[in-house]
Amino acid sequence: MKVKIEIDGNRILAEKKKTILEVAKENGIEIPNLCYHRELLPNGACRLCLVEVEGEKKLVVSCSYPIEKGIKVKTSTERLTKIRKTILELIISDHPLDCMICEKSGDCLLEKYAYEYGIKPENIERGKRKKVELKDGRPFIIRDYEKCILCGRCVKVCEEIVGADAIDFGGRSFETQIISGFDESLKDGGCVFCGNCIQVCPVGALRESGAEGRGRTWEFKKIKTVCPYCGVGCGLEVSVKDNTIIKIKSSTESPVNRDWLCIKGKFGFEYVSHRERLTTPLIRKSKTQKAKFEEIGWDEALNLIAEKFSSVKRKYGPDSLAGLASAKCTNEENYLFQKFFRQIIKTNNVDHCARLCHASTIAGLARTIGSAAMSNSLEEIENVSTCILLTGTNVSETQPVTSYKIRRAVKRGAKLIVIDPRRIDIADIAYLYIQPRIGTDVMVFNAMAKIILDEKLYDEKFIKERVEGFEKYKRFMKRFPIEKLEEITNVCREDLRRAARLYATSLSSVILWSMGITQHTTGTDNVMTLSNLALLTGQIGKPGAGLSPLRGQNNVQGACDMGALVEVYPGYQKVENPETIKKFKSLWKEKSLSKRVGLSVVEMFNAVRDGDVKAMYIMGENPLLSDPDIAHVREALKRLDFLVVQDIFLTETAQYADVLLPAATSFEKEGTFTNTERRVQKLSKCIEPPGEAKPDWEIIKNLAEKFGYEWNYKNVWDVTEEITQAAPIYGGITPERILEGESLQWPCLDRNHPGTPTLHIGKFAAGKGELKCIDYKKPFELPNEEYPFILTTGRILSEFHTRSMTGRIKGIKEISGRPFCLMNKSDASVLNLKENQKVKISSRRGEISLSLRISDRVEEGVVFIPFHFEANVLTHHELDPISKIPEYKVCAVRIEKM
Amino acid sequence: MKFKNTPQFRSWREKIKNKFTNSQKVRVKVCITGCRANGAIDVFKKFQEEAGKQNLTGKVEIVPTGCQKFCSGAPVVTIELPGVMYQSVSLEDVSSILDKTVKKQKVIPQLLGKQRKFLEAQKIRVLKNCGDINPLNLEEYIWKDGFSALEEVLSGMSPEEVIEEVKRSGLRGRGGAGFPTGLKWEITRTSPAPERFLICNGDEGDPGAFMDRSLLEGSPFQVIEGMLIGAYAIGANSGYLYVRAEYPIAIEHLTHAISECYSHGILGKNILGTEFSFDLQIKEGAGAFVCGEETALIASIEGKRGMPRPRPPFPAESGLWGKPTCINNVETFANIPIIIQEGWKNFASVGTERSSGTKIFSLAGKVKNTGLVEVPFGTSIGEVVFKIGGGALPGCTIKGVQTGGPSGGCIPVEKFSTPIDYENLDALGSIMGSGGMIVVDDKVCMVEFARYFLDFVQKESCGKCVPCRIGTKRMLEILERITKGQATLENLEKLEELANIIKDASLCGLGQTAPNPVLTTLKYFRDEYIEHIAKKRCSAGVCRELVIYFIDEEECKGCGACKKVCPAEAIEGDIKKPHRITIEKCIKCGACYRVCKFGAINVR
Repeated sequence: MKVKIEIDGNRILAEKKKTILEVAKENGIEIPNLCYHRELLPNGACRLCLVEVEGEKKLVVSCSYPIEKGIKVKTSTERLTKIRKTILELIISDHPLDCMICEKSGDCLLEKYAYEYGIKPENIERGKRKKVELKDGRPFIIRDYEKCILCGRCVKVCEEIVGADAIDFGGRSFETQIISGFDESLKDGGCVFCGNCIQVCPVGALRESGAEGRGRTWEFKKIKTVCPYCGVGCGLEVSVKDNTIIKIKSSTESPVNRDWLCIKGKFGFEYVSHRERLTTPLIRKSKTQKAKFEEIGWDEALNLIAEKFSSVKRKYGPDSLAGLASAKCTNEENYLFQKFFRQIIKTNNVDHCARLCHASTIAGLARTIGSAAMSNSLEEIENVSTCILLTGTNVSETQPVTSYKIRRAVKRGAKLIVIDPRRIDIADIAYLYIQPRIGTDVMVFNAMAKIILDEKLYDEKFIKERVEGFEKYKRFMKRFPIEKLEEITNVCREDLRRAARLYATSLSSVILWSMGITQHTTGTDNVMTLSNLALLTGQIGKPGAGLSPLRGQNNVQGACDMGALVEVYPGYQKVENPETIKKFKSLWKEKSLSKRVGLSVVEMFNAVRDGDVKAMYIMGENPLLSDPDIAHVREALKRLDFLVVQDIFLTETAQYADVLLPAATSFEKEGTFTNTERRVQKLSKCIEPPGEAKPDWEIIKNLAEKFGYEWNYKNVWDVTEEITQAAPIYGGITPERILEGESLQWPCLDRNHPGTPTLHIGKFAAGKGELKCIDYKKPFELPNEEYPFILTTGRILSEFHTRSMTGRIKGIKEISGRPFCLMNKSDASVLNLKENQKVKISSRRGEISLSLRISDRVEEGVVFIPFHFEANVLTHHELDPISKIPEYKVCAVRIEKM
Repeated sequence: MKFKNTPQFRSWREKIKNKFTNSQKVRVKVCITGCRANGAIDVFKKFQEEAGKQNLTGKVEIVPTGCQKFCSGAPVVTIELPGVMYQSVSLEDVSSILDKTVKKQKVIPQLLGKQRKFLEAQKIRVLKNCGDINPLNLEEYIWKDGFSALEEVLSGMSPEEVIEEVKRSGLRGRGGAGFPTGLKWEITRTSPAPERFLICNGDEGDPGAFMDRSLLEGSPFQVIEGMLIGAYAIGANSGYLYVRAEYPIAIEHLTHAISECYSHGILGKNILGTEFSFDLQIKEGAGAFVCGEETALIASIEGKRGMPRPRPPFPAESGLWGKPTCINNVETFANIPIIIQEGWKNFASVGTERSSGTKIFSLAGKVKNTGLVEVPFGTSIGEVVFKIGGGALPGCTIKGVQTGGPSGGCIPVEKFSTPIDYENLDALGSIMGSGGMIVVDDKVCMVEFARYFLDFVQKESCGKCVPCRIGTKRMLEILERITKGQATLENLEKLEELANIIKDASLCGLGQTAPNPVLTTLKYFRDEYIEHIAKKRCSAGVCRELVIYFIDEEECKGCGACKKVCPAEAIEGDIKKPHRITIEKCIKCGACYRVCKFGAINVR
């Protein structure tokens, strides 16, 4: 509702629930403030934003005072100016006067207001000053509390947004200061090092330790780009000086993350300038020795690759070559990579790590609703969804910024249901937490569906209009043995009933999941049971409701969209469909293209072992750590006749390469990334790549030339343009729109299309949705006497994947850096194991040693190991028969004292 | 037993009343709360012991009670028949009291105090149970018509009717701000929400204030009854009694009272068999003065650091856990049963038009009688200080009275004719506050007095908002300079300016009232400030840096007592000859001044 108000004599029509400060700001009236922040609840501490409201005896805090009809506000009077000056003088009386050497100078709010209000330090009686020591700065964050003005923004962001609660006010009165825990180090106080406190600090009290003494704000070139880590795709503002990244802030204009980042986005850039970066092409000296390389020129390297690939192709056929594209590379690069294999090599053996994460989502949802991307925007989850069902995704560690949004959703009243075998962090704020046994998801979600059917909570109208197979499904569910629920899953039926009712009857319910659902031999089945829930209840196809798989890598969505998958061309056009082949023959002006579905990631390595694949081209992936059953992969890599690896570091995989090509990082090139919510975002070049390293798209283009193909791309945006023709869902995402700063979510069908924040409104991609009848199956490998524990794997907050980036960041090494295994307290006491004790963990495939951590977040009989280190020595490579995803989440292990 | 309905409860009351009325026992009431500091527990035990010895067990009832109001007479004991109050009762007195007064109805004159004047001029209404009944005994409260108001409310009044009754009574919040209670209840009730909370603010932190403490210790059921009626009116099913941890007796008595209420079906599910349910728990404070501020108190209950937040939204709209919450002070709740029992008209017949009913004050400082004072609004300050308080201690002249605790102000004796109510005190630059009254005489330096209170408030600032955190510190620094004779008149100007801005710009009541002692003393005792600054003198002889101690050689007998206590070895002199103080060595601790029996040590 809008009401008429008056500010400084201006008549303004404004939204009723807004505050005076917000309305003033929108109307160009600046009210000074130090503790207000647009994303935080008002604090009212600095008292600079006081204003006069006609009829109010007392002054009013404009940052928290909601406007009312007809109020007349004065924001600048003699009385107010006097108060503001006094407040500034009081703050400055307890603040160092070292602006000339302060890192924050030029960016400091206190400095700005002192200037604007003409504060003269010599007129201020300084009095007693608080005495505080400079706090550590290790890792990442300097706490220079002598400069702290106690605005409380950092405390609020830590509590309200991040939920870490690592800092708070300590002491009282004049001696009040911000402390972590009981005045401990940040790490001991529970800090997650997201650096959002630095982002909101108005003065120089909180600073990036890496940027100390490296320049002033006005010396930096500030470039907006996209984070290289997870699928959220946060906007970054990168400060660059002398071709070096000095620090990173969030790009506050980003529709994705607005003001917030996580540890990796904020601090995880040191790898870019790491001395171990590959700077020239390298060739392996001897076939028998790994990791002994010598430098070679680009021309020579590409010629050699062309020659080897051609000869393998001649000798063994096109399908004896295979390529791994990269979820870390841009859309344009993935597009060219698959184009290289399909057009030039003539094979569909091109896949990437999405196979290992959401292949089962893609396969499952393709069968039920026709499209596997997240059906909702992150913004909808934050502001619209009234029920959030989170399952198999440790969101606060894997997509921290999404977890901030969920936290806010819960604060505004959305009900969070967490169903996860691990009692993950976010379960602490859940309305309902359910802990099923690992690998029993089908049973759990079928039971939920059964409750929905029995209690008639389904949406009849929706089913009638948009769903097929209901009668058959009902018959199937009639004989579903819900009485076995507790025995198999250990879930209490009453809890599940509450979950089912809440999910079915909420205004808009969304299901979020990731690897906990997908990385099973029943991954596709799991996904389809989730899809059944949405289809039964009509919780899809409206804002805030739907099926939203959270994507892991910054551009895993894009790499899939670009057809870096064995079964589809760009835009999910099926390889087996003659129309697709026809279309791409014409687009690429090519006479023949392979119609055979290629070998997926794990199948490729199986084929190498069997001698069917002879040469591989791996771009920006590290299967030797990321794929299941590492020993098996290592054998395969050794058996290859010829391996090309294109990367930024000498990864574990790269050590087996015959030719190694130095690539540019995402800070060193242009292009687009597509985030988890299908948003295509512009990547900007911040610095030059080191040495002779080149953007991947340039390397692929140059390699294509060696095969005699003239790909006439003047720059990366020409590739973007070609994508609009190749993938209909990207039809309207043109280089022009991207360069103008538009942030579009596909499907965006033509140049005038506004993009699609919510999928499946009115109609599914597949036409009608289909309910699937799915029986419960046990995981492939279950514990026995010899291997009595279930091992499950996953990510941790500060590390990323195979650590080729995060492993090269000093501060992160201080925080995590070492492998560990999480075990329940009672198991540990049975085995007589203590915290931090070294243990040996072995499976049928191998063994590793690491230190033990005791935590009740895992249930009895289960151990958890982050996969970043060497957990995949233990995992097995049994696949989900439909999607070919390996079962990373369940294998049997034994644990021994060392 | 748990009462299943109101008639059952009523008949129980009748039974109890009969029991007490027919009792032949003489009630000997011993204050075991406030008087505890002066050995009242031992006195109480001695009475029990002696009663046994003198074979009086069937004839007397030794009743432990809360505060009997006349604190300067501690330990006090009241014997209902013949109706006397004895003061400063020692263990030795017990046996003769039982023998003479209880057995033979004879008054022991030397144990009688001056309480008659002290109590006569009061209008005891809210405090009627306090000091009269055993606070740990539900039956005694029931006997005195306790929970009859609740009974009446639950036997047919709608919540709206209850609110209307309270609104009409004109009851205003006794916590200090004087917000109309009925209106607060109405706002809370009409704020849409699935649940609401009721909180009783028992975080009485003002130094020298003990009204709420006395009520909680001496009549805990009365406060609970008030809360129950409030909860019924606003539609709350759970509530908190926030009591400062420094009140262990109050917590003990409340804990007992709450458990009694639960076991009798007065708290919990379906109270007295009705649809109304209410759960009540105690939340102990953790020592922060600021938690008396309602939003800080709410934060504290939520487990957060007790810091105020800006209002709006007011707790009545969004309080505890974001739900509509009504917070009233202890004394406010203690008034509620009276309004229901007497009806709004009777209640409002006492007091003034704007401020109805009575107000409890804790009278302390340089007056003859100190203790709890309950008077109707409209009583003049002078009446309280001179009539009830009995005027100045011998040899002193009263200069003023500090009302409203450390954030109140000092009202000079010229203004003592002012009738006490919220608006009048506000107009004088002070506040009602929780009702502390500290009487000040001419031995008090008003600059030091203001400094003392500001120092208290400054140390208790939560540190959140700039004016309170840094501003009060800077004010304090100026005051310190004045008391040391180091300040200029410009500093005084700055002090006044800062005080006004802090009052205007602070976030919560603590900061907004913190400058009051300074502003009122500047208003009424400005000449003392000027004297400190311009003449570098403190005529009260309090400000250490501005006084000189010297020995009047004519008066000095040369006893050597001063020399002995001087920690700085600043006093020289041979025995039986006049001593001397070396000014350079003197640290002005005043030890010699206090020890001299001959008045030979002077201060200038």
